[in-house]
Amino acid sequence: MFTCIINIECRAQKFLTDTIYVEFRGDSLIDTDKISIVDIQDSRNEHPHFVRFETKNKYMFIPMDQEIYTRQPLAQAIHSGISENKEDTNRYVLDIIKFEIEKKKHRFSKPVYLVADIRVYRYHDDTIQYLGTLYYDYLYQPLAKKESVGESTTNLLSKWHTEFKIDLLTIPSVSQQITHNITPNFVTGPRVKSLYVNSYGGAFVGINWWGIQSEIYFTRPETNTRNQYVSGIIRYQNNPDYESLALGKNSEHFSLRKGNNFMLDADLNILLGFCKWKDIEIHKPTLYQLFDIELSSVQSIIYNPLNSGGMIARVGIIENVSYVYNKKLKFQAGLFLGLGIKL
Amino acid sequence: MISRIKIIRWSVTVVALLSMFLCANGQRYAISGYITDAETKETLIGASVFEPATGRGVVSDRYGFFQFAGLSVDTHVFTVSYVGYEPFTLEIKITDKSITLPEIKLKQHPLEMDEVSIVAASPDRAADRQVETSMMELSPKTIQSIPAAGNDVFSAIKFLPGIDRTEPFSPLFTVRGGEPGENAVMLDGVMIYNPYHSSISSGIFNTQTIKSVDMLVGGFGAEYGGRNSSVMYISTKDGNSSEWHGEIEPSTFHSKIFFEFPVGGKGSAIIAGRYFFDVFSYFIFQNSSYFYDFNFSYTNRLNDRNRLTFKYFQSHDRGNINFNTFYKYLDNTLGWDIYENFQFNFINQWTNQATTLIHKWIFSPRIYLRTQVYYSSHSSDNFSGVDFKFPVVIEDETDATNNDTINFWLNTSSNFNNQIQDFSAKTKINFMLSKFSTLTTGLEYNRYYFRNTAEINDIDQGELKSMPMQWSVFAEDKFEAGPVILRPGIRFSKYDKKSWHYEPRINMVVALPAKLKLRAAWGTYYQYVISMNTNEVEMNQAVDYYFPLSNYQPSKSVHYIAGIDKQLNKQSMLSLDVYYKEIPRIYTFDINQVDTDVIMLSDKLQQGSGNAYGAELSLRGAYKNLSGWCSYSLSWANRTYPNLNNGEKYPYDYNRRHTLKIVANYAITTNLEYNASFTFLSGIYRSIERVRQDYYYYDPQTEQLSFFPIWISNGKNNAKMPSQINLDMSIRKRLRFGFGKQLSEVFHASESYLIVTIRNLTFFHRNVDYYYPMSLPRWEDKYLPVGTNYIPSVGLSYTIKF
Repeated sequence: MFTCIINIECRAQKFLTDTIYVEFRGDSLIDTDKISIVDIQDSRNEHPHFVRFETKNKYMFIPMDQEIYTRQPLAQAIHSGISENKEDTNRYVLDIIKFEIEKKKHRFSKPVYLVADIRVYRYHDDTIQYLGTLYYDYLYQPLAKKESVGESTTNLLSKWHTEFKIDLLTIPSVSQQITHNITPNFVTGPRVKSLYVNSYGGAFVGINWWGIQSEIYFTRPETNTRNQYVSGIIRYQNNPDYESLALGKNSEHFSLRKGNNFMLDADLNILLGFCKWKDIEIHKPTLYQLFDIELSSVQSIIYNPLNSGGMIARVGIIENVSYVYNKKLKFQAGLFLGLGIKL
Repeated sequence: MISRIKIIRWSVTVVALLSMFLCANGQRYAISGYITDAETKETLIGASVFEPATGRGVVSDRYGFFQFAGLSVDTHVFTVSYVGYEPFTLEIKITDKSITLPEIKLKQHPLEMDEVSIVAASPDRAADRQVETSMMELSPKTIQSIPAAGNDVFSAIKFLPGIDRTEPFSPLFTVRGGEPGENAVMLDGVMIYNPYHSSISSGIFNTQTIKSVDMLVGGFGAEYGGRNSSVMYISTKDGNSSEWHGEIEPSTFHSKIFFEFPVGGKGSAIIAGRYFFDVFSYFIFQNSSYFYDFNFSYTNRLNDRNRLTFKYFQSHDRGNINFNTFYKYLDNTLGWDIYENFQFNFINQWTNQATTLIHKWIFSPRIYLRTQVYYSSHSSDNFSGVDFKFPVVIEDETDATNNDTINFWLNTSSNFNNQIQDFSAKTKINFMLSKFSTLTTGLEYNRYYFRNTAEINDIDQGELKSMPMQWSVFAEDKFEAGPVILRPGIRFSKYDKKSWHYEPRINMVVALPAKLKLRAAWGTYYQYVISMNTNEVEMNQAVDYYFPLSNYQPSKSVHYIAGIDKQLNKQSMLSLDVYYKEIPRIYTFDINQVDTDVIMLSDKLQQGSGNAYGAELSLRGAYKNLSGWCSYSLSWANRTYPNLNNGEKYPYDYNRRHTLKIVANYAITTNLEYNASFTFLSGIYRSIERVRQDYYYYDPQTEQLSFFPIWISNGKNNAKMPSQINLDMSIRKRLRFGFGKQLSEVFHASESYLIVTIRNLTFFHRNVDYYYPMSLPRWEDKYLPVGTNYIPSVGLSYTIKF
């Protein structure tokens, strides 16, 4: 019996994990004569060649890990096409804090992003001075309809490298006060974090219907005006005939920043819940009616200061459609109020 | 027949003479000390100290302590090693005295794939370490690797050969045909009574705090007493004395935290806890069930020779399960109207507390003392009942208009209450007499408090209170000569006002050519505190109700064990164990005695005898990235009681003739593991009822005729249930993106893991635990199969590690 298992697993090993090596084709079009990089450090808690991680299901159920590495160490690859410690240039030292290509699981699409944090230090007279951090949530637009993981990684890195070099060139040549609007990706200031956790407690009320919900999601420093993110929700709602407790995963948010403090937000979520019927003798619920499915959307204006933590607030309207087996579809709408914290 | 006194004299003389002889031979010197992790300062159990020049070696014990004797005046070079750690070379110059070393600190090296094994790297290590003939080790990693175990010690041990579950929803277990109450569970030397949670049928020990679990399934040494079947010894961590570390497992239902941190320059501490609340059951069915457990540990390394440890543990369960609402939903679904007034309740309250102070002292390089005082308590209050009111039409055959309706009330219930408190003080001394011999001797004092009450079908079964005490003394010598390791020992025990009982024991290991190892053990065991069996009236007996044998002779068993190991390669071993357990005296409770004179619990106690025997074949080890074990057990167990089954022998309740257990872990990378567990279990024996006797009584106040049923079978354990098959799988993977990864980043955690468990993949095979007689019109001869695991399930667990 034991031998039998060994044989099965050994054969299985061939497809259970992969390491794919890809080319990092550095940009060669942008002229970077005015800058040079003295050193690039890789401070990630990862393999120095690692750039991407993928999980694929083999035979529908068996998850397979794919790790994608660049052929040369990432720090070395990023350096390509940029001079090393050249006199009469703006000299920098870079520190890679995060660098990973991620496929985001949005409800209607699975876009590929390069998510990176690269700290930029100015090198002058053998000393270094922290200038700011280059934050990237770089959306990749595939060049072809069907690209392999390797191809898309190579293409993405190449395109990103061009933007990265432009960003470096945009940093002022002399030591002066730098603000975050020099380039959208370059963010300065000690209060900026690589990842913010946003958590809300919200309440909503409509006709014969009210509820409370809690929501949590993570956001990166904003470098674009339009952003898309997903959240997790737990919601209690009180209907005339039943109460429900529902959970929602991957609730989709589409946001549009309006100034430094406010943003417009619309979300769409699907929740699965359990029902507690108020009067079992009257409603005669069956076991099937212990479950409900909710499709809801909230359109709101959010007070959420750009790239800083603190209190956040949300006002808007909510629409909700609830389905319980063998019961009439229920459409409800109401006012939504939320208060939370961004850390 | 040799008299008792002669045997005692013989045993004491042999141990004393052996020790004297070996002492006389011990003119050389010794070294001793602790082996620890350089980073955390946690002691390492089973680390090896090897002298290449002589080919001799020892391993550290469960306290991380080692003693190496027989050293001449010279410079000695030792290699200290442990799996996952860089070997350390130790050079010691012996001049004119033995030496107590400062802590030997081993540095961890990056994990290699061939070390990602869920079984001990050197399978023979356990035998070398304690010379226990039937000992199996479980590490936290092993426990985590068993998908069906749910990261629980008590679920995990049921995958070891010789250990089986009892009732389907019960955490209780049986070892080699023994009773569930014959298993000692010790947490750092503290006897824990009923270490289980009611809500999830699991143990109360948080695996995050556990360092190792030693399961001694028979033939255990003289150090252990008070239980006849097995000893589970759980060693917990002392805590990281260098920096903060922790794990958080947040969940809507079942959350865990674990923190370890340094305290001052010499101390370390652990705080850990778990909380469970069944929020959905509460929301939908208005059932309120929760539990919590809490661990605190503080260790102070006073100096190289002295360590002081304080540990506190508490757990509490409250389970209130009422099926009334569920049955109403069921009625509506099936279009019935029969459960309108049906009440089916379980109300459980369990509490455990344990606190201990341990002092470990290296008195000299040859003498090691461990002194401990502890207090351990348990209380449980369990109610289960059926309350069903229904009208019955009594027809008048001559005139239908005269039909009468009478309200019947099926009312059967049980309420068991048990309290036990154990105040104990004990000390153990290790004398390293020579390189051939280590003498261990100890003394233990226990003061107990027991309280037992029961109410069965509203009839009070009386109250029993007692405060017995127990003295125990033991001595055993570990004698090594060439390929033979022999450990004779004897334990004396005196319970309350009874005379002393003696328990001679011997363990032996002989290394043979061709990497074979022969093991044998013999021992006598007495137990003064037994467990009540209540499964006749309780729907699901989930705890042991401890009952002191103050007015009875202790139950007794004698173990005969022989085994042979064949080491196949560095990491794999094939073992065969055969055992015979003679049980000359054992007790059971015949709860359902309806004789009106037999009301008191103590009157329901019956003395009998029994035996258990069988063979266990197991293959443990690792091959490349695959590790695990596969075991097959063949066993018989019988009982005989004068008043049961007409005094004839019958098969023991939880005996399974054939069991096949497979646990496999495939670590693809250090970030991704697949686990699977499979069990095939022969059916257990049940008393399938043939006749139902209803006991009626009229309540003049409510004017209702009530009854409770008692089922009568034509023989005890007269039917064998069908076999059971279970296959479970799990995947443990490090999170690389998504919500879980982001959450861990916010907490600046080093890693986060997700464990997906798919249970009961063999759901198409109906695992029947019981056949319930229908006794309904037209279905008089039908039996309703009642079982578990009818549908597969998926569980998720998320852990953030600092």
